[in-house]
Amino acid sequence: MRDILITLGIFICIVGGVLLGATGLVSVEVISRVDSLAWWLLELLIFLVGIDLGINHIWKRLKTVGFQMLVLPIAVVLGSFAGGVIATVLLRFPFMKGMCLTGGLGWYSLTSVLMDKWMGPEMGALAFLSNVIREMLTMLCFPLLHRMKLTIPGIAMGGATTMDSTLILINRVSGAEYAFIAFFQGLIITLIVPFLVPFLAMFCK
Amino acid sequence: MTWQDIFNILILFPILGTGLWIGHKSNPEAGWLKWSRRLGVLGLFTLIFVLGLKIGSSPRVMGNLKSIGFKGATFAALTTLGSALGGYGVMRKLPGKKQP
Repeated sequence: MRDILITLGIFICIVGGVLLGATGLVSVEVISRVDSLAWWLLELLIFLVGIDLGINHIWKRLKTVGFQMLVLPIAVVLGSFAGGVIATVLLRFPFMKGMCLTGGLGWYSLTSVLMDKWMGPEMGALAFLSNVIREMLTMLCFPLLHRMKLTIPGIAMGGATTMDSTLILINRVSGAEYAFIAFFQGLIITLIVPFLVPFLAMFCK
Repeated sequence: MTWQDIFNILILFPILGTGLWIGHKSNPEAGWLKWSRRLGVLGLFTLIFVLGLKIGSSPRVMGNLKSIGFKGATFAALTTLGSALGGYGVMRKLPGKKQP
């Protein structure tokens, strides 16, 4: 029941936020302030997740896990690129630009800025939208996948976001042990993306 | 990528580390932990609302939704599905997580 309520709450918050933003009732100044406040909020939530992880002594697992934990981030990256290739073919999209979009792996703030700078505003907006939708899909689907005992695929959906924004959700819904896996996955992918996107962008005309 | 971006990424580690340390030293039965969890849920909803607000207020995104929406959604759906399938493929190989 808690998972359903969380999913419902997330849906209401997303839709409510988009609708309020689209009405234009909120000024640009307020939005830029809210944007910077959001980062502080994110840091607070990461801190609270840290407390949850610490109480469960989850950090001790670091001693027992090794390179085996790298399997999930690698699978996420490879799976994402397989999906990206299919999307590129289906949409008849320029291949390397499609790979750049895919290389964001959910990190919309970084990818959209880089793409906007290097390939124009349309690609920037596309990178923003595709990565935001990925994050939204994760937030909407994760509680349901957890109920279906598909927690790891649910975590995998999040890509880089599982280190920050979706980590809080994963921790709340599935518990600290899965939050540790999610954080580790997000950490590895977050380390990869800043190198991957510029590298792929070098091959775009 | 700016220095601010790098800082924003790096700052998460000491923040998480401090939380881990406080949590490790705390009594799991402490009353304030219940409030910290409630604050976490409230913060999550607020963060998602702010995310929606940013999307809705962005003329670049909202103005071109029809032209870029389909492509963005297709990329998002297929890459997310690919990642999920990748996760499904390896979930039994993860240490300590043997799902049926």
